[in-house]
Amino acid sequence: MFDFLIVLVILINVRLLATGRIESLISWTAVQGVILGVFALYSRQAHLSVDVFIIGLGALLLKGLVFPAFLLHTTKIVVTSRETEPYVGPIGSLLIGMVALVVSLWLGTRLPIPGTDTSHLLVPGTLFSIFTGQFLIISRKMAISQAVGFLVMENGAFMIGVGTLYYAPFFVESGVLLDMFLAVLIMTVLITDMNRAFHHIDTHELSRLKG
Amino acid sequence: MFPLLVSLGLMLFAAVVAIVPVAKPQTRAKLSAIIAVVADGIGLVPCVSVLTGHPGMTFVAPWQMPFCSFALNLDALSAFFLVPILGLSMAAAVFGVPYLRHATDEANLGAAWCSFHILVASMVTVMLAANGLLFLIAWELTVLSSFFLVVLDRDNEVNRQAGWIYLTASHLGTVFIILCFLLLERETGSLDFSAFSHAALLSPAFKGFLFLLAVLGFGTKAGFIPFHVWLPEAHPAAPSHVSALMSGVMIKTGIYGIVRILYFLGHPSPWWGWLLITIGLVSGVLGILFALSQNDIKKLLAYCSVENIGIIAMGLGLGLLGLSLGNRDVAVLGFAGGLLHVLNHAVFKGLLFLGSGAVLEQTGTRDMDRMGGLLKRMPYTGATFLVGCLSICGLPPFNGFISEFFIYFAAFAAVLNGSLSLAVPGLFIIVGLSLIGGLAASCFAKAFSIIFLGNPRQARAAEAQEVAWSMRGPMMVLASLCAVISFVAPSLLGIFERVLGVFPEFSTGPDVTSSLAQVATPLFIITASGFLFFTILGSIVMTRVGLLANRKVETSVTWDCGYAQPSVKMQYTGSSFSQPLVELFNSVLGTETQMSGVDGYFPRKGSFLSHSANIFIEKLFKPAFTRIETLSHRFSWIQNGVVQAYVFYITITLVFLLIGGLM
Repeated sequence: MFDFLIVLVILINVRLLATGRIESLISWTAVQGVILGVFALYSRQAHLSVDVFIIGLGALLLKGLVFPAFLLHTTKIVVTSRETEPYVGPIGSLLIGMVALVVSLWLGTRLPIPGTDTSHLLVPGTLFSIFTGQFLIISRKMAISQAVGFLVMENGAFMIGVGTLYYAPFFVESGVLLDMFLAVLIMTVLITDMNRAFHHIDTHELSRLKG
Repeated sequence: MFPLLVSLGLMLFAAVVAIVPVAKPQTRAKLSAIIAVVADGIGLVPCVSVLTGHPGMTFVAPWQMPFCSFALNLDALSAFFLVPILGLSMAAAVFGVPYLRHATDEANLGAAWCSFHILVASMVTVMLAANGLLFLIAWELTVLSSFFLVVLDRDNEVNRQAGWIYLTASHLGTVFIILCFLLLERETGSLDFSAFSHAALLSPAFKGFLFLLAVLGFGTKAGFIPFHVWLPEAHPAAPSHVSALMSGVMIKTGIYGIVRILYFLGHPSPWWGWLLITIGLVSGVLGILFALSQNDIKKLLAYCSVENIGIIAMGLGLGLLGLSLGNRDVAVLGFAGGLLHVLNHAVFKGLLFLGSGAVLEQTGTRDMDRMGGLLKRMPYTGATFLVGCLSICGLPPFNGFISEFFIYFAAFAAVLNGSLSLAVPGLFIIVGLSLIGGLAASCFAKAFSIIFLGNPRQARAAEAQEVAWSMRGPMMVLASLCAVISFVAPSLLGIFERVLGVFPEFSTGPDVTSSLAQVATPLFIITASGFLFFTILGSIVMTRVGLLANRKVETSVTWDCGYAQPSVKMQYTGSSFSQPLVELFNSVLGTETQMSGVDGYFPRKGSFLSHSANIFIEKLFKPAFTRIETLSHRFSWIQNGVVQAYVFYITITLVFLLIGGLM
């Protein structure tokens, strides 16, 4: 079951790399968020208490519904083109993704992390998510993709978090989710402001701010 | 130690008071200045007690900072430097309250006072720090807080430029200090000053390298030529009471640093002395020459600080040379002269900068050629400024003479009793000091006469009035100190015994006291002659007052060979006064003049402009920095402004680190 969920996450990452449309980027991130929520609840089923349940459900709702809703809403307000306008096209992105997956799998064998006995795919999956997120940030011009990339990276970190720790204090987990919430909020505000200033959300415009 | 901690705490409290918006800015400024004055007063108590023979104190607080310990140590050397810092801060704080009210707008007032208090507190910490890292932190705070004061009038392009030069120069200097401390740490195993003293056992070559680093690093702060370029830019830009503090004591932290490092390094090599003497001679002579060619009063004073730092370096250099060649008298008197000049320069340079602040407040300009005739309008400022001028020229019976006398005495001792390798530098110093003294006299004759004598050259100067008592007070106290220090000089000898006693090289071997005792008799004669001078001067003044009583005193124009329409423009200007000397040394100064229109029997409108470029900036630093700039522009494609590229750099770095770590 763990392996299955992780493979799903990895496949969604590949899908994210291949897509060129903003809406599909956001909706696939939403699916990934739901899967991770399930992953969180499932991985801790043996120790399920009220606060663990709240956190799992909270993660599922935030990652699967709230954040994507925010981003979609922003997209509707600001976007002039539906393309993410990549520096690297879908084929190139997929090739780089494959290399990243191989590197992640190799790193997974070299990186002994205690508590990863649940699944040997946990570390490679996490690393691949982080690489994917970073690649999305680097290779796409539209500012929305930077927000999505950040979410994907965070998803990776979330996965290894719930996968290795059977229990983390309520405050820590809720704090992490709150951070995420604020980050997404700020990013959407920034994107809206950017749109207002440049009438576009191409991050290339930011270089015009150089003194 | 406790009073000093209280004093530091109060200074920081004053800094907070200055910026917390609980009362009107003026009220807060006044309150924080009062707190600072109390803090300075409390801090002076333990310093004076250590200087009068009580044992030094240490304080170590637990601190989690890596490589660092919050270790403070008050020994006679720290105390000797702390006295002028705390004393002058007191005067500057009192002076600053009315001065800043005019010099800056209300929005800046809180920030100005906050920076001022932090500057003083950090200088005190620099003096007390007994750990390299703590020292560097405090050192950096000194730079930053004074930087904010330099750019206080930030709307002025010149001031911003001065601020950048200052910040760059200070940080370049700090690089050498960090290097010096790190090497000391590597050799002695700790950044604590107590461990640094093991450095005395290192090889002479390595010790020489450390000394060189210290001279480069601390010399930049002190203002040795050619590292002085920031000084004539930054000091005039700061508010005058801060210039007093910067010129009077802040640059002395550089001298303190050099002396402190010397205390660690044990027996010196002769070339250390040669180096300091050369730097001293160059800084002294060039400093006063540049000062002579200035028309901006604060710039003149700033260049003159370079000259005085040169005198201090000469004293220390002679001391080092005496020490390395085994001539105890030369060593003791050289060091004592250099250190005493630190104290004296703080007093009279503080006084002169405060005086220039008072003049600036009344006339609204720093250009001496727009002043004139201020002695009649500002008698207190004028009289105290005159005392400052006499002291800085090293004229008896004021304090500047005493410290130069020590150095002269050491130099004569070197020439008369020393070997050839001691006699030659001694001779150089005698000649150099005499030259500097003569040029200084000319320079300050110009400054005083152009500002205070004659008739006002413009309307603002004619409307000038005496400044408030809270500005007069500090100047009068400092002026009287100029005389008092020279009168109590014989009793200061004990202090030098203790200050030099901290130096391991002096604590062994023959007694320091006997060397110092040689100057006791001449000092006593100087003091007695001083008393005689003041008595005669007093009686002359009394006679004049008595003769003029009940008589009508009229003012009239100067006798002008019968010319019908004398004008204020016919007076000597600063440039014309110094022209002969400036022309004589023009090869060094590079002064450019432009004159037009004066020809024929009936010349029409004419103009004359003279400008002394800063040759060190123009010929040395500008080309060097332009070179660096062109080189670094080749790498500017890295900073292309594309966000993605920056994330890419980070990612690549992290991935490489990860892979590298797991290989």
